[in-house]
Amino acid sequence: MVKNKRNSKDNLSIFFEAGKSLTPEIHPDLKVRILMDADSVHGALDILKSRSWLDHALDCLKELGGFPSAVGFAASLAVGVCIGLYSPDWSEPLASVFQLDTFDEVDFTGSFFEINEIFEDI
Amino acid sequence: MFDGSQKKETDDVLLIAFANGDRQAAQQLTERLLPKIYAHAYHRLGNIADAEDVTQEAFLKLWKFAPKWKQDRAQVSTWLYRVVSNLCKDRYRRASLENLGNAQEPIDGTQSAPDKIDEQYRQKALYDAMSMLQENQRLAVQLRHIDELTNPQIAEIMELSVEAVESLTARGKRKLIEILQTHKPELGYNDG
Repeated sequence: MVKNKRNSKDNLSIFFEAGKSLTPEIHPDLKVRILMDADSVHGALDILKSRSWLDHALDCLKELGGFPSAVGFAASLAVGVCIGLYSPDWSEPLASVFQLDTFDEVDFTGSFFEINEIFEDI
Repeated sequence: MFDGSQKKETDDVLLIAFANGDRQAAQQLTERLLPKIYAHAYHRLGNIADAEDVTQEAFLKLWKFAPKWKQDRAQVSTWLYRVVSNLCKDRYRRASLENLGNAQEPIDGTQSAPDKIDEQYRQKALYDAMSMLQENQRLAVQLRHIDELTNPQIAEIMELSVEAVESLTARGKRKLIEILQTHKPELGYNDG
């Protein structure tokens, strides 16, 4: 039994050796194609890395509420800066609303609706 | 002999290096893995054109997967074998050994023409017999005795336990012996 098994194993080995030995040579074009694929995937990976900052910026935009909100935010920011840098003198128009010639006439240290006199009596 | 354990770290390092921008790493990986992967695909499919297509497709999947590769997760080689195995299942047909005549024969000046013919007949008989095995048995026997992988490597490729692989291989070989002995006339070989 053991002898038969050994013989069978040897016979099978001959077939396996034949199976291994007749592999055709690899065509050089195959290696070139594989490396060209690697290059093209590599290029795609580079694009992905450079887009990462763009993706981050787009994420921030989404959090602001989208493009229209971002435009409104930017516009209001610009207007606020302009007002801060180039604010007009509103004192004369405001003074005319309170029927004053200028705010210099207003005594901010005096009694306000005679409240000070009320507290003096307490 | 394929020794995945010694090369594991190196293959992993090369693949991660490729993902991080090292183009030379792809060349080194290709030179190391291409012969075995191509041989496996050829022995599964039986013709050069399909073997080349499957090999190229497997490597393309590897390049695309490289950024997600985690070191120590698996061997690059066994991952590739698994991909090729799945691709071959999609394309599998009985080994068209009629194409042996179109194959580029390996240069071997030590063998005379009759020896080569005998070897071709034995190969044809082997692949015809293997086509009669169950798919898992055929794959286990091929990986073990033609691709010369270890049982743990085969277990990783086939996603089975080592014991299951040993059982498949043993049953596959017993079945092969039976087929080769009983179908000798049909298989067309004549071993003394």
